[in-house]
Amino acid sequence: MEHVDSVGIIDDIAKMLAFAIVDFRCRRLDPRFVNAWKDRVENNSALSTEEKAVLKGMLIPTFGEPNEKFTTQGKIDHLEGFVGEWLWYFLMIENTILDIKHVEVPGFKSTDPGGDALVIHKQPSGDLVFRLWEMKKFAPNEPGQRVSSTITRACNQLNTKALEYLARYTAIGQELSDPELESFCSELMPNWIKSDPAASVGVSVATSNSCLDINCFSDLGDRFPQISNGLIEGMLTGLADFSAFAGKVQEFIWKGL
Amino acid sequence: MEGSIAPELLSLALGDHALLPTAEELSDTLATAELSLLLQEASIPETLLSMGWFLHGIASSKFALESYGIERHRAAFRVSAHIFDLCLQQNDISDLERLKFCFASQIGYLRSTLDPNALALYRREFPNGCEDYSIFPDFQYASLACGVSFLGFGTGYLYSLTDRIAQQRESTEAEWGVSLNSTFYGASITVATASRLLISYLNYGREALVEQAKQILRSCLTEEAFLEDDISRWVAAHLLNICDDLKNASIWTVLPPNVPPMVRKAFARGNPQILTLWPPQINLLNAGDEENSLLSDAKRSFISSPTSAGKTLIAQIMVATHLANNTTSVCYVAPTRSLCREVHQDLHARLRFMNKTIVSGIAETENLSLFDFTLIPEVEIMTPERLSYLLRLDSDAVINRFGLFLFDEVHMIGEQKRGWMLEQCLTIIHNYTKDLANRIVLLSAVIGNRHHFINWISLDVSPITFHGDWRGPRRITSLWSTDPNWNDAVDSYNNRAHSKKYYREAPLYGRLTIQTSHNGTVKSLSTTSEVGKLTLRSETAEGPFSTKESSRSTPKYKMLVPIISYLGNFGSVLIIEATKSATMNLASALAEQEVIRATDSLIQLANLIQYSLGEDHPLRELVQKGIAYHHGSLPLSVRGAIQDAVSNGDIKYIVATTTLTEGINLPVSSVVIASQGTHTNNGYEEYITGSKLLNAIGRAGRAAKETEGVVVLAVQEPSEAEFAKLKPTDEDLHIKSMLAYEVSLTELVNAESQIREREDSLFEIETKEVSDFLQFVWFILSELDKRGLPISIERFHAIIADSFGWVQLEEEQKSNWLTISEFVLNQYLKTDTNSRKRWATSGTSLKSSKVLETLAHEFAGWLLELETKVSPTEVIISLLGVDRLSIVLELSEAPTKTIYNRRSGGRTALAIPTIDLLTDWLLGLSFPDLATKYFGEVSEIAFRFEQLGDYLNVYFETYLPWMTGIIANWANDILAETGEDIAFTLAHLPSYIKYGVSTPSSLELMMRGLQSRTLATIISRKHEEIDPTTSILDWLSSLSMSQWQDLFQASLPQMRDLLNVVQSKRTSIVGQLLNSETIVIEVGNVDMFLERQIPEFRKTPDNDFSHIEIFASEQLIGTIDTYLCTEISYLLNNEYQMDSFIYSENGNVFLELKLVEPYSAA
Repeated sequence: MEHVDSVGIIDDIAKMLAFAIVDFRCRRLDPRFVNAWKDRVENNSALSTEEKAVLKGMLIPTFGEPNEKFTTQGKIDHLEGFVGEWLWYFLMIENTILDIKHVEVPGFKSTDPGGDALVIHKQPSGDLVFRLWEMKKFAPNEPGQRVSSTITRACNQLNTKALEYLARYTAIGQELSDPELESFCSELMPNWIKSDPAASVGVSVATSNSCLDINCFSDLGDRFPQISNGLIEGMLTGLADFSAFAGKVQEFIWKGL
Repeated sequence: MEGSIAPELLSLALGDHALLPTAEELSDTLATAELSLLLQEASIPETLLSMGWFLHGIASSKFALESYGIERHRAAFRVSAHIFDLCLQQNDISDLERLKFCFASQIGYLRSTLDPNALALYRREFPNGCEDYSIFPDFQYASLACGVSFLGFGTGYLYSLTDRIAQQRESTEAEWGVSLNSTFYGASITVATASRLLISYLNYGREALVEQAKQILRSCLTEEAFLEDDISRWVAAHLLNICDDLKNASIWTVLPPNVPPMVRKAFARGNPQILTLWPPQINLLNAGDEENSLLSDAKRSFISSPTSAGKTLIAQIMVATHLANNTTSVCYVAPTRSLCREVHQDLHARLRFMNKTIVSGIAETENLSLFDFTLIPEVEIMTPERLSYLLRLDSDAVINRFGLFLFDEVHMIGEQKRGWMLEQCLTIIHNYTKDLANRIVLLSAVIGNRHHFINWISLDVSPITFHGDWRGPRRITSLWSTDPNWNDAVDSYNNRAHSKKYYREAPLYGRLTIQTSHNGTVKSLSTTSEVGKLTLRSETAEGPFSTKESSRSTPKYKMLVPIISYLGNFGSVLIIEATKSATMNLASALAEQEVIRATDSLIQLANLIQYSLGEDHPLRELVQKGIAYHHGSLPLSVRGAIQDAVSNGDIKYIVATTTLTEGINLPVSSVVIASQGTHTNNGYEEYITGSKLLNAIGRAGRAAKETEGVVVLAVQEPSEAEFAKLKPTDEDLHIKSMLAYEVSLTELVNAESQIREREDSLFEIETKEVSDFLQFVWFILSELDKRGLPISIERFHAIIADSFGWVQLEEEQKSNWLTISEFVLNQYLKTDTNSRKRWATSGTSLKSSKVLETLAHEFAGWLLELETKVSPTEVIISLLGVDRLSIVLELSEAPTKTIYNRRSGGRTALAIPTIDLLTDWLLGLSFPDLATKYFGEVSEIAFRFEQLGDYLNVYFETYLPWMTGIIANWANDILAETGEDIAFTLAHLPSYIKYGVSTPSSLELMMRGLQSRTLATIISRKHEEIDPTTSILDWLSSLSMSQWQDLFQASLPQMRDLLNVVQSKRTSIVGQLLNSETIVIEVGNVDMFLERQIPEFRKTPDNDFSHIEIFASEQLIGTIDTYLCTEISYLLNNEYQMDSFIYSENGNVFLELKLVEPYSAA
């Protein structure tokens, strides 16, 4: 469980996350676009027409038109969900404990609820293990709501949707340019269904500090009785006021456009 | 649920996992889900959906085939496809779910050999294509839409979607200055590009496109920039895995090298498009070794498979390949005229591109070579009767003319009335062509004793045989019954009844009983509202109530209306009734319930019916409600129009006798067997059983249109035995030769003892079976005679030994048939040489031949006295005059058709003046006018037309043309023997009678396929008045279609017909375009120079028959000739990617059309 509170740090993190997202999305096109965005955020430099077009084309589908704050709950949920998922992703790839071999990033969701991702890592024994992640954000807009309800929802969704997610990853995973990984992906479904030690799950929730609950994952194991390897993972990320944080990420993104 | 998911399949698919449901549990969940969907209470449990994804997932990897083996791999895909198919039938799923389920299901069906279901799903879920998606912002939807439309072969939609994506890509890349392939949008773009390449391969056959597509799809899975778009990558992964399967199933790959490119194009670019073949078709084409290919030199083939398995397409490929590679023609034999018509339509859709002529429906005894217009078809589709006539006329000519003989529905050989006719033809052709290159193909539905057929047609090399029970759509079989609720019964007393005055009336509720496949468990559902009433009578108030009071009970057919209406929600419903009157009653009962608004097409159909049957005919009203009945007494043109309306989906409910299911291939969504028999004087007689029943239920579920069909059998009480009826055994489907019937063998013994007493009494034998055989012996002897061969029983034996019967007979039985043949030989040798050869050609009994020869002599005498040329009508009336008609009508072959003033009860027979009726028939008097004039005393309009239809069919369309043909030919022979030649006067008499026309020009129109004889007569008269020196077709071509309407008052379906007739003589421009890729047509004149430019086509009004005007720079510069309009419309409307240009040369305006293969556009 991680939580961050200070306003200054929050801004820095929001900026870092915004940068990471821009970098992830645009660096393969040409690093100059990432640099142009960064330059604009930091120095208010002008963007060329081309740079503006590219950056808007790559970022607006998720973050909306600059300075047009989302007003519908659906769009706000979408933004917060997206920020939560990417927070998970960047924390995950910075993870130095696991020997990560492959990460299926949270998919770009047009309408699907929640997000799913897959991480394949190698155990010290040399065996490959996959962890199917379900990601949620928890930003209550009414008092009395508890993070555990979001976790329950994430677990339920994982239990009902796991086979669809895994079916998709099985197909996608057949061309990974690594025979060992390809072969492992073809066994995702059987491993899941037969409670093989190679199968595992994770639930990640991004929320506000005020909502952090140290015991929220205490019954995670009971929710996935089929997972036999003890590798069930819960990740609760607290970021001051999470809704405000997501809004800040959005603002940073816009600032560079 | 037959054809559904058997427990073995489920068990195989699931494997052995403790956490998964058992096969029984899953089967039960599936059955419950199917049942709830049938009741439109759709909701698929999450557990079932999860199972769908599990099975789909385990089969998805490229390693799955290797890991699980082909059977489990297929089973997993098939079960998952079925589950997703059910999910799609839920009402409240999102667009994204619809696309995902559809794609996953299509993949599952395609990879488990149920290919047509992938097409059916696309057509069912996206009948007008998916939405107009684009990559901004719907890129994942766009990928799924590319996937489902590609797998559903929605070529037009896919091209337009990928065109849009390509344009968006181009403009965005121009704006951004970078490639979108380095963004998350790239995944969707690569899926679009690959889908376009693949559909282009299937359409145009450029093999390199497949490799290119595979490379692109592979890159989609490995490109880091695409990581965020897991949906597009999922689509890409599956498309990549299925590329090779589709390539291997494509028309370009499956057809062997000896099939010329033009044939492949005719299928890939024809309408409907055939881009891939189905698994059994592929197996069949691969049957035999290379030297013994089905499509080249396999001399004998036998293909037996159920309806909807794709036999028709195989037959079309065989015909097209034969015509492309050989100079000989094709003889296609089908048992009914309706089927001949259907085969003609289907073949025309292919062969028009190859500029090959097809004819069908030629009068059985017509001699085409006598026509003074060119009509030498490359394909003639005919009934066994016509083939029999042609063989008798000149068997060598038949063998020389036709290199390929296809016998469709060959199981008809076991039919009591006409089977022997077919067997004779096949025996002769089989025997005569043993050492020749002619090929024989037998096509049939499922037959119980296939080995008999295989033994029969085996030569030195075994025939290519194919049998399978594969079909695309699965079938749900169920029973419909009613239950009285005696708790709600109402008692009453009827003082006026003679006995049993106490009545008890109970409401009846419908019950649908479905048997699940895995353990025979029966699930029943009852209606919540009553479907009718049952009233029983008793002597006392206390009962017992046991006698049914019919006048106060709802007839069974009316109680079927709720279930039929219900099935109508899922698509077209075919209801089988045992009698003609029952079809009308049920159709009327349905019409009382159904409220369907008349569409333009239904109004057109109603107009056609009014034209053919008069405005008071009940069918006219019915069809406007989307309901029709169909039986053998309706005119062929009306039946054809109804069949077309059912195929097009305009008619939703069709109540028919088995004439429909036996005759033609008209698949529907659901089939209801309302009754299996009827009450006769001998009690209840059940005759819709065995292969008849199988044929009827086989229509449920249209391949490539539906993934399942529903069969409902109406029963008194549901039981295991009733369900068993729906699955006939091999014994039920056993086909027997006439020579092996019990009755034939008994009559043979009787006949032999009669002949032994007096040898020439063989001419008096009237028992059909024996008489038919004697006639055949006579014919074979005359064949030996004509060839100058020794006329011996040994030589006859060598031929009869090649009959189907010989495979089934015991040695002693064969010997009995040969013994009686020896008596025939003796009489043959004693008969005058001219007469004996002549009698052999009649196809009648020997006794009738003798009588007919006398009539021919009389008629020849009349002809000799002729001083001036007379019209065909006068010749026909004279031929049948002077009592000759009554003699002809007394022959044993003559049909007996009595006309009554009412359908039942106290009816009297009416005398019909046949000669007068025939005269009016020949003069083109319309069907309604004939009905009024000759059948006016029949007050019930439908019965009046039913009887007129039967009368015309039996006498004018069948029997009299046959007899007239014999008498005319023999009179001709007789005169020729005396040095007179009057062949011209006597030519085509059978055709004039059959078609009911009286001039050569009207006959030509009918022979070329015009359906309406009244229209042919009107056109012929106008032609005679306006421009008699030009040929009828040239004259019609010179008129515009609005002139056709003005001059002939033709309806739209008639115009369509007429257009086909006019085109029949022309070279197909679509065919030319496919062959040469570019065509140039002269379309007008201008007095200025017109630069090469892109024209605009306008149709006013915009329908099939409007003129197409060509504009350049808003100026009208040409029009397209009438006869080209439909073809040009076809090109403009049918997904052909073309460039068109207009330009002038020496004052003439030319239109250039150039076919563009659009694979590179994305």
